[in-house]
Amino acid sequence: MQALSNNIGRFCLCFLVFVAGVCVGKILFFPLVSMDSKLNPLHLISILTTAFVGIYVGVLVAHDKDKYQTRRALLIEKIRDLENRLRETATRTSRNSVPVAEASQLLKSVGMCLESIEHACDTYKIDMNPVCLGIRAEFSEVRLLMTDTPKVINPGTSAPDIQVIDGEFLYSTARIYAISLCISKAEQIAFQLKVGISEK
Amino acid sequence: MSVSNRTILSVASEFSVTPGPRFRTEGRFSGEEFREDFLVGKIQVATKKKDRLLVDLDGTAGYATSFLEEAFGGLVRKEGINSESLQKMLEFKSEEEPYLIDDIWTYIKDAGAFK
Repeated sequence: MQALSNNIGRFCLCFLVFVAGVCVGKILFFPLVSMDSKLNPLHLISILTTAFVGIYVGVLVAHDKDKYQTRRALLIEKIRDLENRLRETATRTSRNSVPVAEASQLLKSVGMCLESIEHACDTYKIDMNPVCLGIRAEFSEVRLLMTDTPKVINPGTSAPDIQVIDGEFLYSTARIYAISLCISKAEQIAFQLKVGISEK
Repeated sequence: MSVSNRTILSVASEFSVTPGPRFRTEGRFSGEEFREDFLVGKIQVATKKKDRLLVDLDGTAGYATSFLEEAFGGLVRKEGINSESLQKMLEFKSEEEPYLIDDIWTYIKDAGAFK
């Protein structure tokens, strides 16, 4: 409502300035401003109004386009941030041991980034839900693979794929491969999301 | 801390900003430690006062899945608390990672189903 009244105010101001300009031009006999002395004042107002509506709509459309491009750039920036965090998580887990606090922190940063992308899509009314759900599914899987240790420890059996020793997660080679596979799937979907937003 | 029929337990300010692994034997600030030394006591206090217990999950560095499963799923599996009564008694707050709330309810239900 505030934006609408601002726009109407701006339009009225522009219109007054233009009319004032025409009148001043007419008074000073500026050569480019010539009018038929028999021109009906109603026709004159109609011509001026049409010209101004045209200009105003053009300005509005350009403004909306700018706003949309800014939003799109912001969203793409957020997706790049998500990709970086996913890459960081993949690099960190490839070293086969990660302190528990660090693993939780990495996952939290990815989760918060994903939340912020979904929130931005909702706010800007950009329908990217199916793609966001795809990333979320991979993210849930990565969380389980990285931090879900067995509920029961059975001494004597072979070491599980994931275990905690001295506050650090230790992963088997198979687990590291599964984590990296999941993260690269999430990255691929994030890339699709970026392309989808760029094309909108 | 108690606010109108609600006892609050903040993990970050009352337990640790860096929640750890599943078991005490695996490292500091484990889910087992949180459940046994903080959560169960708070549940008893809330039950006596006929309050609901609000667990505030915000403000930490993040949670390992096994920490949450052991802390909340363990309430059913190891403390013998009924999952239905937990649903009536517990509330969660997580503005930073809202998806954790659904996960915790899943751990509680699953622990009830496989008990």
